Amino acid sequence: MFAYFVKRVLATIPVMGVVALFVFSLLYISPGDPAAIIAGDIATDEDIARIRANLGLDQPYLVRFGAWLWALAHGDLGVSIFTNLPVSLLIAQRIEPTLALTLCTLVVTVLVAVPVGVIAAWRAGTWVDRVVMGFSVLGFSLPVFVFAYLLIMLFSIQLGWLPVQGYVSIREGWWPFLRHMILPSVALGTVYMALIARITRASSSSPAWW
Amino acid sequence: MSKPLPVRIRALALAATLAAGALAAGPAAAQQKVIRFIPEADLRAIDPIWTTAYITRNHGYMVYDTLFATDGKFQIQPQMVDKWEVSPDKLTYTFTLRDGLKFHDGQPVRAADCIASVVRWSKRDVLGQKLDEMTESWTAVNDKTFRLKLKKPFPYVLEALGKPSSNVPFIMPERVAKTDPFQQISDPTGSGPYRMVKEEWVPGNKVVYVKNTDYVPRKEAPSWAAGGKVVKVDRVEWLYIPDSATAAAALNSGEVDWWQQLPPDLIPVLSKNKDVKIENTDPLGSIGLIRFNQLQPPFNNAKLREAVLYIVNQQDYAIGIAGDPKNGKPCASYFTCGTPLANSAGSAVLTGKRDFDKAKQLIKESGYKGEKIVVLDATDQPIVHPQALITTEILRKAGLNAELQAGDWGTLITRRSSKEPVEKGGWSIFHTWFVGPDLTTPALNTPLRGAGEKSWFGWPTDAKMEALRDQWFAAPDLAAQKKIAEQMQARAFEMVPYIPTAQFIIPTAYRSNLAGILVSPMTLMWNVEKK
Repeated sequence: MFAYFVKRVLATIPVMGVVALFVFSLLYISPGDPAAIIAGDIATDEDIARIRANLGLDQPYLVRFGAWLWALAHGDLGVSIFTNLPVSLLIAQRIEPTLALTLCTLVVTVLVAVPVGVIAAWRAGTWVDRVVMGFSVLGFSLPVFVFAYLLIMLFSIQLGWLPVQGYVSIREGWWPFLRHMILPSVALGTVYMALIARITRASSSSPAWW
Repeated sequence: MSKPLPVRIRALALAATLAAGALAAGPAAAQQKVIRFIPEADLRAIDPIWTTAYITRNHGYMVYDTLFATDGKFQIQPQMVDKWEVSPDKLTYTFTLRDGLKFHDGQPVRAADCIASVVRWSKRDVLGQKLDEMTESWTAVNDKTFRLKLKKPFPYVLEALGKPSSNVPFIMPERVAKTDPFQQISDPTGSGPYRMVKEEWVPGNKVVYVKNTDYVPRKEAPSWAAGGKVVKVDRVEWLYIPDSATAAAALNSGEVDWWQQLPPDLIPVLSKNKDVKIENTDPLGSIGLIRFNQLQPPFNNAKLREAVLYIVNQQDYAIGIAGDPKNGKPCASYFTCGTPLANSAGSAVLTGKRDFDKAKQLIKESGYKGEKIVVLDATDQPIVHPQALITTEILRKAGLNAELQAGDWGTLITRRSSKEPVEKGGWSIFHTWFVGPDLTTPALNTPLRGAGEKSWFGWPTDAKMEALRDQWFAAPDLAAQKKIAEQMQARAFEMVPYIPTAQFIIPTAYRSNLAGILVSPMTLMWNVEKK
């Protein structure tokens, strides 16, 4: 198992290398000059050249790519040209909300889909089953962004129960955190709820395991 | 007969109910007065000297103060300056700072800070560069007094120091202002009415400001960026919500208090909410424009640019951008309509009957051979997108080989810096807009310049226009300035560095519990209270 894991990890390295080369090349061949954009509307050619040199944009392609790879290998992702903040900080700022949303979506999906699938199996062939499966088809078919707007309209604007947008860290309290997580988690989880509910129903409908 | 729910499922439901009850007991909301505000764009750069982006300028007004400021009557008023003197030969200006000025780190604002800030600004700003050209020296007389010596009289010293829009000469601590003007600062310490909480800044999401309790406002009533900057709330949060439907829902539900720029299509939706007010707080609005690439064919030919003048219908652009005729109108002047230098010289070509036959004749005279015309579009930019669609349509109608190349705004501002031919990623036309204050005078009107490759994107060359601009700087009074502005405009309608498309406003929307929002071309957040 360990050998398999190591093999898989090693196999990703050349893939990452190709992706890095591809992305870097795309940026390189894009028209326009970042130095000219940074320099602003009234900069002289000398000003632009100075910025280009400061950023290393006057170097040949391979030198720039090599320097970027070398820094990356040392854990240095550089500083954002626009925000002047370390790229690692910008990524870190987004990790917590991303993980929180992933986890909440998983939890909501399982909490809803498994019991609903079980109930559908339990009442197989009845109107309950048909309603659950009907909603499951709807869950597959309805685009997430449409469902999200419907949720906002009902729970945020009509009822005023949940916020429209935003993220509050769990460090500021469980309830503020959850209030902001419920709608996006439900919206994102709908497709998975539909899928898991159907799978649960199918796998639970043969023997009465409870 | 139905079976009862399994015990395990019932237990789970009970646990979930109990957990929800426990979670509801969160910490009580702080009793601070907080304004939650949706800005026009994401604040990506915090240095208002490094970039001309309006969002960064607005950030600048939050955290910095200025030596002088322009008021609602276009008059320059002292702001950080208490008093100033001009020598009889008009070559020496002596400024004295008012009492009580402090930076957010508690240090007093000194003459050295002001000099370093103005010098850095003068390397980047269009009017600042002119002042720099005229400057012999800046000297600190003592901590509160400093002196400017000019090489020759320059009547726009105070106008430059009180410039209201990008780049604004904001005052920073000397240690920050010593930064290379072409490198962005990272320290947002200022002496303005708010302090940025940098630890809470999440680019793409949120910017937080708190009241600067040490700030000493002037006694005068606020007027544009002049007068007393009295802060009436504890905290302001800028929440960037790029999706307009979500932003509208957030304002409708009361989750945010103020939406800076309301898209025209959402005006009817939000008008139905009696707790939301929709107003025009921008007295000058903005000006849309068509910009030609004069380095490359076919618009390096003045006849072809002139042809386009005959087919631009400003009313179409006004409606396209603003949606509602109340919010957009034609403005056939190269200087912002409603300001002193606006005039009608040469404008008949834009206000008369739209004449496709005349345009076709000019196209023929220009020797146009069907070269491809690339019109850059930014579909995510509601001011640019309709202009690009309208222009492409009229060019095709006039028989030109126009190709609309759609992308986003970020791509457009990258591509517009390309001087290459269209076959190599270049462009022929792009559209943009300037806020009213940026086009009020020849000193500020960047796209009007004809300095060749040193000009703004499009790079027109026009020695006569440059000479007229120099004459304007030497004009002794407003009457003389107006006369030269008319000549410059007449010249612009001959050479067509760009075509103004419309003057429009984008209304602002806010909850009715806000009061005191200032009428100004910039979004300013002092004087606003939350009831």
